[in-house]
Formats: sequence, structure tokens, C-alpha cells
Amino acid sequence: MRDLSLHLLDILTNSISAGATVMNIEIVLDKANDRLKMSISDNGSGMSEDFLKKVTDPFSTTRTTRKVGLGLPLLKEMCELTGGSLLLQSTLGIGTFVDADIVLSSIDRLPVGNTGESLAALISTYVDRDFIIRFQSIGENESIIDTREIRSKLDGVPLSDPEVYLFLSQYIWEQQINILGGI
Amino acid sequence: MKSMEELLEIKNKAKVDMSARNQSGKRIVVGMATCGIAAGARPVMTALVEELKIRGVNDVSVTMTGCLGLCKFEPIVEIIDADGTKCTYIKMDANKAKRVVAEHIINGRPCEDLSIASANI
Repeated sequence: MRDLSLHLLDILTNSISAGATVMNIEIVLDKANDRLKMSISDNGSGMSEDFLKKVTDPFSTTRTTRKVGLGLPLLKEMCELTGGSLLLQSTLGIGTFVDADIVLSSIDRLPVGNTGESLAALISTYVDRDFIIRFQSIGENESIIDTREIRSKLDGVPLSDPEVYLFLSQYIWEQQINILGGI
Repeated sequence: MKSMEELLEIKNKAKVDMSARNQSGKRIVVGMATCGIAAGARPVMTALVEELKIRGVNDVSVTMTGCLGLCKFEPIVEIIDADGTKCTYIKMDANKAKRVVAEHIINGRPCEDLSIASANI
């Protein structure tokens, strides 16, 4: 993966597969503590304790097309390369929380990339799910984008509309740059 | 800088030509599991949506899907016609995506050199 936004897209497809209807995404810049945090919490089916233990092993997956699953293992590796860590919490029937703790100044830290493109692809495909995205720079400012608000503004025009897709892609990207800067 | 107010314009515009939409029944699907994403599927999806807009095509949907089971040929794009006929394009990039929109979607001539039929499996 070339940047964090691609990891984000990948991890969110896990939430979708787990039947999540609401996904909370936070990307938080904490300059004072030299940290970049990306977290996703969903209300999907969750994982059993057994599966949670082995989920960052590339040879465990729920997919049926092949026997390897690289999404979480790749994210975990990236976090650890920077000196950070990946925290996973999950409860069957409740949901899952993925928290990537990344060292901001590490030379191995990937750039954030364009989260707008990642989220626009998801929002326009999974039009009946809700995504709440929060960018924050601790001690400075924050921005929240909520598909429930967008859906009500659109008044029946589907989120899959191509104009909406391109608007969201650009809008989310601008909010990201505005809050996090070009990191 | 984009503002949320633009959504109202998009809404009003979309409501006017809503009747013309989604009648071709054509769908474009982009494989976007770990394999697809790592191979560059996201810029392909963006290029498809942008090119369709540039060419004024608003009756073809573009969505993402999971792993199609052919990871070594990612990024994979499938074009599914109203009658269910499927054309699978492999090893796509943004430029190939634009070509597929022009030749397959607009002109109705599948790009055989980009399709899986051209691959040595």
C-alpha cells in the first residue's frame, strides 16, 4: 500500500463485509506527542476472541476465493515499522474497533494520501451505509463529515450519483488538507 | 474550496435529469479488495467516474466490489451490459480506463486487447 488512505479503504471493506451500517473514522494529528492516529469503529458482526487473536496472521481470512488475507497484517506491519502499534478490539454482535497508532516523524510512516477518493468510492457503492469521518489536529481544529447529513441534503438524489461522487471526493480531500495539512 | 451548499445545486440539477438516468442498465464494477487496492484500483475507479462525466454519460453506474479471485490480474474492471453480458478487463490503469469508457461504453466496441480473453492464463 502506498499511503494510509488505501489502508483505510481496505480496512473499511472489512467493516462492510461484517455487515456494518455505521462506520466512524477518525484521523487525528497529535504533533505534541509525535503521533498520527487512524481509527475505525463499526457496528458490524464483530469477531470471536479466537478469530481476533489470529486476524493479523496473513493466513487467516474470511474470504473464500483464497486462503490469505493481507489487509490487517499489512496495516499492522506499517504501524510497527514506525515504532507504533495496531490495536484491535472486537465483540461478537457489537462491532469492531481498529486503532492504528503511528509515529508521525518516522521515516517509515506512509503519507496520509487522498482519503476523499477512498471514501467517495465506498460511499457511492454502499449507499445505505453511514460513514462519519472526523479529521482533527489536536489543539487546533477539526472537521466532521457525516453521510446522514449529506443524504438529507440530497433529498432523494442517490449518493451513487456521479456528481455527488466527485463532489465528495474533492470535499473530503479539502477538509483533510485543511485540518491535517499535506502530511 | 468546496462547500456543502454545492450539494443543493447538485441535487437540483440531478432532479431535473433524473428521468434520463439509469436506463441503459449498464454497470461498471471495480475489484477493490486488498489485492485490487494495492495494484492501483482506486485511481482506476476515479478515472472511470471522471471520464463518464466528461463525456456526459450519466446512465452507467460505477461501483466497487470485493476480490474477484484473479489477484494477479488486478486491477480488474468488469463491464456488465443490461442483458448480463460481461466483459472483464485486466491490469487496468487510469489511461486504459479512459479508453474503455470511450471505446466500450460510448462506441460499443469492447477493447479486446485489454480483456481477460487476451491473457495467457
